[in-house]
Amino acid sequence: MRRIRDIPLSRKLNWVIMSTCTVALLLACAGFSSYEWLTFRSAMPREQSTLAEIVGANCAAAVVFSDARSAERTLSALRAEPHVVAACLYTPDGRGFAKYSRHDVKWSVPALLADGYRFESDRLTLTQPVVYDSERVATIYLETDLRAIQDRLLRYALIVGTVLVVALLAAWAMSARLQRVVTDPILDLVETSKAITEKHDYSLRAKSYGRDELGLLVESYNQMLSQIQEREALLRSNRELQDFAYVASHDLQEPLRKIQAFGDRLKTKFGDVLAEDGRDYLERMQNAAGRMQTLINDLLSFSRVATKAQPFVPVDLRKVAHEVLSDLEIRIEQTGARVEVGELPTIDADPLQMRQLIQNLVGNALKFRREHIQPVITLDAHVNGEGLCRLTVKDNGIGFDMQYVDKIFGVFQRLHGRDQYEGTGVGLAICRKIAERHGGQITAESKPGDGATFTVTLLVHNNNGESNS
Amino acid sequence: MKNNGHGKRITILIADDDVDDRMLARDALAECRLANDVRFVSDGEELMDYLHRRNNYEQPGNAPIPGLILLDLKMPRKDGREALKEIKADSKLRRIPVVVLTTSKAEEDIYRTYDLGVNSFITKPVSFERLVQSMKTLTKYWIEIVELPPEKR
Repeated sequence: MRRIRDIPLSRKLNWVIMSTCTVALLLACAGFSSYEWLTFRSAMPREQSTLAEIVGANCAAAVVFSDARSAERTLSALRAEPHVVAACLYTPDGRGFAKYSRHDVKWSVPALLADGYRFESDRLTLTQPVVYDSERVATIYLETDLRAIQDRLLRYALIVGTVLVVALLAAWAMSARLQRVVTDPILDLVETSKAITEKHDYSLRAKSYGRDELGLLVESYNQMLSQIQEREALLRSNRELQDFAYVASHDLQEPLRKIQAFGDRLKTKFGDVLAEDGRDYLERMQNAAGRMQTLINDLLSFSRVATKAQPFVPVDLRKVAHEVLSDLEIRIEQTGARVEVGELPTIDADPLQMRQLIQNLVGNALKFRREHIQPVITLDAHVNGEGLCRLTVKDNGIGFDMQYVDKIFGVFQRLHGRDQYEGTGVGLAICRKIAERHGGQITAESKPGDGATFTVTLLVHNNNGESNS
Repeated sequence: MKNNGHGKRITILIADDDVDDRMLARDALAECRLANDVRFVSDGEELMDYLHRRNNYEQPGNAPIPGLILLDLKMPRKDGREALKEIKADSKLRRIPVVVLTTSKAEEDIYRTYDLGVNSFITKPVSFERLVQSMKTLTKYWIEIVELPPEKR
């Protein structure tokens, strides 16, 4: 048998309502019945006692004058009371004096019993004194048949039973209708959830039926759906943007390559016949094409942070830093820079992206050096108790105004003219994206003319390498 | 005897749908001063027609067997990968050296074409000078240096 918590909600509610109703009705019926029974038990002897008293009073004179015939006549008046089946009078010494029997003429007077009433299986017997002039002159005995009255009680019980059944049926019918006030919103919610899970359609909404707790539930559920829908849309547009950036930069390269190639041809074959300004125009065109090439390449590497992401493996940042420094060896020599590498830890990361990150940061530090001052670049890292690695790249270069601190991590954001410093403004955007992919972020601290410190936080332990948010 | 610029003319077959690229390739090969016979097809279907001498290439003179195929990957109808697969699966054609010359730098393209049996994978150089360089090296290597199995057909 299924447990109650596994049966459907509507049946569960029915079950709850019906069992509550049944218990309530049974208790009510039991109450009424016992009240009736108790009333009967206490009223019956009282009525009989009154009757006996009246009859006894009427017979008192006959007893005093030993007129048995007159006494029996008086007793026979009990015929008017259908439940009284027999009665008799006793003389004070306990002998039968007069008797009455409804059905049996040969009924014999029973032995005298003590005063009081007694319930027997189907009859009530009563013995009480007959008083005349405040003197006990006789004893009267009254026997009442209870069967008829028991029949009445039985009929009463039958009616109660019928009422119970009818009431329960009515309750069932009503609960079947009324429980829908509660179950309909819930069932609707369940249907909506099912549809959403099956179709992945987050534009569906659950129907609201009111402003009670269920209404609030439906409302917050719908709000959650809206949020999911927004997130989905955002994710999709992000993905589309990434795909777009990747595809666009791929396809943009094709015509650009030709501009460059035919520019080359034009210059080589016809450079001599062109006038000075013609060659200048050509030169500018080719420079612009070259710049576009750089922009596209940078955009490609920016979108590759997400599209060409590799799973995380343990990466020795110290080793990566030294590889980067040997790549940058010529520039370090040319600028006369001093690069100090502190103790760098091993963390779970995408090795290529770690290299890209450090290369961009150190490359920037070399690029934005102050003139006539030896560039000093410090790479260091600390792992805190929460498993977060703080990698810092500090330089003594030109620095920047902190009002631009948020701007510098945006794509194609630059603080300097192209003629001052080369670059497309993608490097730090790539760094930010890499940091975010590794569960951290990138911040910078600087003052104009006083160097800059870039801090990248990275999770030391990270098995999230498969996904790229 | 080795074939070189002074000897028997070698046919270089270039499969590329891009008119500009065909022009640049022709110019670059001309720049190499190797008097080779350069022919063009514009997609994989046409390449297979040429190699099997079908349709427009029924006349043997129209389709001399190439000594080197330069193959672009992105082409309409039948792309370079499919054509490469067919060439390398064909016992009569598989000995012709095929060099992929494409704009793609995608790793999976490099892996896949080498798996299909391509002889070299070259990314189209950006500048014309570099293209000339590449063509010179390519033709020198595949036509002068490398010993290929003698033609049977």
